[in-house]
Amino acid sequence: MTNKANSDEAGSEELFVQLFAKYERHLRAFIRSMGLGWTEVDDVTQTVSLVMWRKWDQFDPDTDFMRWARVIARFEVLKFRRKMARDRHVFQEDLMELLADASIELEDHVPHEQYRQRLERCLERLPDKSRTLINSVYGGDQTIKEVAAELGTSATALYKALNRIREQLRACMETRSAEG
Amino acid sequence: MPDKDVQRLIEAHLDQHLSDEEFSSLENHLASDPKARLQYAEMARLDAALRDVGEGPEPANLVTFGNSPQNQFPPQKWLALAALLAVLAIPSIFLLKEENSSTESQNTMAATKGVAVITAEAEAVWSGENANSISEGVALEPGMLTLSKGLAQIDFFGGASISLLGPAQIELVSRDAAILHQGKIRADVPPAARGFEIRTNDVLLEDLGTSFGLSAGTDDSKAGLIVFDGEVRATGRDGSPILFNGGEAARLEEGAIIRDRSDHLGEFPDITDVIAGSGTHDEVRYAAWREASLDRRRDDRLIAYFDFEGLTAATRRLRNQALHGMGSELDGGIVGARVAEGRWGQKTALDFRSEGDRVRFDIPGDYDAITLYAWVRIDALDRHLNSLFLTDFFDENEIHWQLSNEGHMHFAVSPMGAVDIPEHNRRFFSKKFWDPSQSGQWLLLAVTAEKGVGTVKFYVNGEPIEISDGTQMHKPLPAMRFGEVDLGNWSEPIWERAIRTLNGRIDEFAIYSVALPADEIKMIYEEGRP
Repeated sequence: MTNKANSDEAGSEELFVQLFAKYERHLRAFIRSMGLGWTEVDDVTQTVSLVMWRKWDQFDPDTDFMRWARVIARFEVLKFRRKMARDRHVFQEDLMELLADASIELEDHVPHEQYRQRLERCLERLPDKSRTLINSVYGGDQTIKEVAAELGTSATALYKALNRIREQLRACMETRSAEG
Repeated sequence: MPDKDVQRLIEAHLDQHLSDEEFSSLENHLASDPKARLQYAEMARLDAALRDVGEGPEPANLVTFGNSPQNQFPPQKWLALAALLAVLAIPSIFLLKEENSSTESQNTMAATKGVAVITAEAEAVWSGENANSISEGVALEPGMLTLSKGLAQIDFFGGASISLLGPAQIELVSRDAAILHQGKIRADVPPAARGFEIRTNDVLLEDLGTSFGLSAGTDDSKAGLIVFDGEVRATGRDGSPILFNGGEAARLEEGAIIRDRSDHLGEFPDITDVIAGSGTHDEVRYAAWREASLDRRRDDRLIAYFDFEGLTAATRRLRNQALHGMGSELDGGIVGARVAEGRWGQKTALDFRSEGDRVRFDIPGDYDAITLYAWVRIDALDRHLNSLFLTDFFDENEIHWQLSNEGHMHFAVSPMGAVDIPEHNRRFFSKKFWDPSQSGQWLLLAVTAEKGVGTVKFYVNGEPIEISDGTQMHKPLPAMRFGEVDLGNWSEPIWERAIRTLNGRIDEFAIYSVALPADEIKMIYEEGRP
């Protein structure tokens, strides 16, 4: 990431796309932590990407891309929120801000990359059946109901199973962070 | 709000299945509690990361191609980038889809498996494509069942049971759900199977632990609902749920639910009329046991007590007879297991044999000490492990009580659940006590355990038996839990293909919140020996 790349028109475009691709999931996780559902996260992330591109010339490539992305994302999430109906279960604006702070606090503690690696290790330790369940729920485009029907169980039972597995993962990740 | 509730609400919000009321409660709590906000952020982070892992590795490599067509954007969730590229008209770059993301998604579970079993029939005539394969005791996979006439009783593996009156057509969806296309049913849903769902073409009934009748069909004048006992939530086409309590009834007209008297609904099937069971034998021993058993109910150290008395083929609920404690909340749901003769001709038992056979319980709480005892007739130990009492997933602090293929009694509890199991699972194996020569004999099996080190004790017929082996036995036992649990089976194995159905009978079962001393266990044996 150099100034030279930014000064060159095509190079600048490529750098943006590369950085955005690299951080998109990270950014989506941040937006998710403010309490939006995945459909909304997808919508907002798209808007954020366009705003970032529009303001790309204001970005200093020597600074942290993710920090810049978060500032824009926060603003866009709140803007988006004002258009959303209350019955979609979105939190109040100030609570969204507080949740964003909480999310950054966690990340200061365990950075994104490290967190992901840990999660992968903890996933490996799960019994096959639990891992398969996680894959079916998170890996595909099926709704919980569809997955439940496929596995011959009820949505309620599936939610319970998921909660249990997530709790195991969380416990595993905590142990790992204690180990350092 | 207790941490556990907060956790549940957070996850339900992330999974988007909160009620409005729960949402407000979560929002208020998050606004006032910084710790809860961290908890939310943590679960959101986990949720996002799991989604990422499901999509394969990070797009570390961007591959530049001269002129790739747009439809080669990976069908993944880097939507924003894909959209951005489209807006920017940069068709020259696309993300390399890593090989292993597709292999991972193929790694899904085998889709079909049994969800229910027919446990009794009376002059039943089945039709439809699968008519020949339908019979008592066969595990049924999801699909349509057509009963032209007669009566049938179907037990769902989730614990609910229905009696079906032909002509009827019912579609089995899962172990907790079915669609009644036409005909009449009577459903009995014990507390452990709460949440059982049954739909007609346009009405959804969610059972909250109860029994009810439902009729459905092309003729609306006969479509209706009656709740005999308990509570049912009915949701019609307008999407707003209506609660019905015992004694209440409704008409169902084109997806509308209209409260009404039950007159037009007529009789609902009750299989009791068709099947009867009785016998006489060994009256003195039976009477002595009976007296002791009635006395035992009053023991306030019992968590639950099941005397297996007066069961008929129509009984779907195994009643908790302990007079103190949680009462009928701890009733078990009988699934598949057939009524059979117990220690004496007058006594009923449940016979466990097929893969589906079990009694389902949901037993809340943490216990510093427990005793489990059961009168068991082992016919064979034909599985690697054979269930006595197995908690669903063997989650943290949940117990497992079972018999090995070689005739040892096993007891286990792990404070980490299935995570790092070799390191944490405290397992205790009794000395070998059973061989096939004892097949068919009634035995009193018991185990007691307490929080702490070295507290597990096994008993057979009132006598202590040694612990011969185990793992992590030097580590302390935690307070123990049951939760969702099976007698005679294992509903939710943590390992693939782990079938642990008991091959035998049980006719008495008790769970205490103390470790009973040896002399009391001896006494239970003396009072109940055949």
